[in-house]
Amino acid sequence: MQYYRVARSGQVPDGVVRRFVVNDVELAVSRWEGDAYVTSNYCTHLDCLLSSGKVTDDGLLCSCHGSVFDLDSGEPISPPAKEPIRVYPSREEDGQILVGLGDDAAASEGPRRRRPSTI
Amino acid sequence: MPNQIVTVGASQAAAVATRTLRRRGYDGRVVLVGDETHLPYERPPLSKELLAGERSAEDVTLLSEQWCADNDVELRLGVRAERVDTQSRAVVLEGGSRVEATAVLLATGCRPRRLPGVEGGERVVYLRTLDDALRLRAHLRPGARVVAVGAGFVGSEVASVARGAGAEVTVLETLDVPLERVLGRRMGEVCARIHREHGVDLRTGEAVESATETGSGVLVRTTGGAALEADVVVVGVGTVPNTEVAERSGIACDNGVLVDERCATDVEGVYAAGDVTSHFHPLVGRHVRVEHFDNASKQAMVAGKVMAGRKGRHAEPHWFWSDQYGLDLQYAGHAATWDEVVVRGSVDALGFCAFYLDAGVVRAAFSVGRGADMFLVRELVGAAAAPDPAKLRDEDVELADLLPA
Repeated sequence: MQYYRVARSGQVPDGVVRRFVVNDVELAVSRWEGDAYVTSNYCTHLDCLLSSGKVTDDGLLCSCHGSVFDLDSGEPISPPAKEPIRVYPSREEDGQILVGLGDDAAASEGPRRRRPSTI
Repeated sequence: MPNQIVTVGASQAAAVATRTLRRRGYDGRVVLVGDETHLPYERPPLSKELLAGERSAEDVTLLSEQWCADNDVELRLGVRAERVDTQSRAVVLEGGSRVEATAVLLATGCRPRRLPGVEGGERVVYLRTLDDALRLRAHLRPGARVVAVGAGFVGSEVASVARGAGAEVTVLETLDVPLERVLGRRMGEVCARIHREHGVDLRTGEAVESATETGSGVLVRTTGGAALEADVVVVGVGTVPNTEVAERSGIACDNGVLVDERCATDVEGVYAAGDVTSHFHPLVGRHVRVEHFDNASKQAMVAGKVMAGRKGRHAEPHWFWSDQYGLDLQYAGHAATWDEVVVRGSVDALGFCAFYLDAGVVRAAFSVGRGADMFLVRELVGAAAAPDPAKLRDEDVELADLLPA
């Protein structure tokens, strides 16, 4: 595993989720109560982009059907999603948000086409 | 006694509350008491993907046995609760045994309203449970004659799936247009058009007098004097909240278990969430009972948080979606009355959002084929925005720019 720079800290203010791509890996970077979190950007329900959703006290909310994921564990708190999202190790130093990616990350989290959905 | 939270009901609200409790660091035991024998499952697919055979019963499961075992969650399924002993705080089960509790969540849901003269049976389905859906599914074959009683969301979604399966579908609706009370006449007419364009024989202003199983089918008689032969009949004419446990426990009910924005009932330590509640909602300004998936999840997250000792408040706009004939229908907010409907987009092309304004304030919105807009629409409803109707109608104006600063 290696750490890569994702964004400047200021690019992700508190209560905001933004989309970034590092080494072809599609990432959602969220900030809640000061802490930055880096997760997969794909909702496990129908692959909607979580960066179109919002960060709430309950977790990362998908805008398509309201699934909510815990930012620490990736656990699906609220359906329709029932599988967790991937949470990447991350840290923040010198005004930068860094993410730890293994060699396999791009294979599982590369750009993908959304599964068929109604939205 | 060590901490133990007991849910009465083991469906979506109970499952979400359980996950929330664990997320919020609650370390006591959680016991789910449910009268169905299936693992907790979600209901929206029962009239959509599961009914169409695109998803299996396993696909709709919300909590697996493994997750429950890993998280010290006990499932007591196929078990009926009798009442809550609000003095010593325990759930009393049918037969008299007790499950002690430090807090109780009532999540008993609702059941279909029964029509006089229409007994449920093998071929007459009041759709609510997984078993109901599987029974109905077996009848949806090419050429099958399907009669849906009620053109609400259940009847409409079943009609859509049945048409997709190649069945002949008749929908009987007592009102002049489908969903008239929720959507108003103009948007109800849009729903009627959608059905008819997809080959459904929609008969409005027609109520059912009786539906009788004949062995090989069902004979449906309408108040207008028509007699229809069907292979299967599905009835979706509203719901009744399952308040019996609450009532036997002396917990206040009025068309549902009465709760505040924290999901608290009038009895300390007893909470309620989901379809069974009549909940105070600040955007509506009074208590309402709704049967929406998202509301059950949102309330359950609040209840979980509050039972875990944190602050929580259910104040976001109501929201639900319906999939029909490949179209995405969504509704946000709650409007009992309105004085103006502003349409953004094209009704003819079935790509639009209709905003329900009351004294200039966006109280609700109904969209077809505009799912991508609904996130912002919910923000508009949540903010009680009062945008200039001309701008709201103008698709060159971004919805985000209409949010109050």
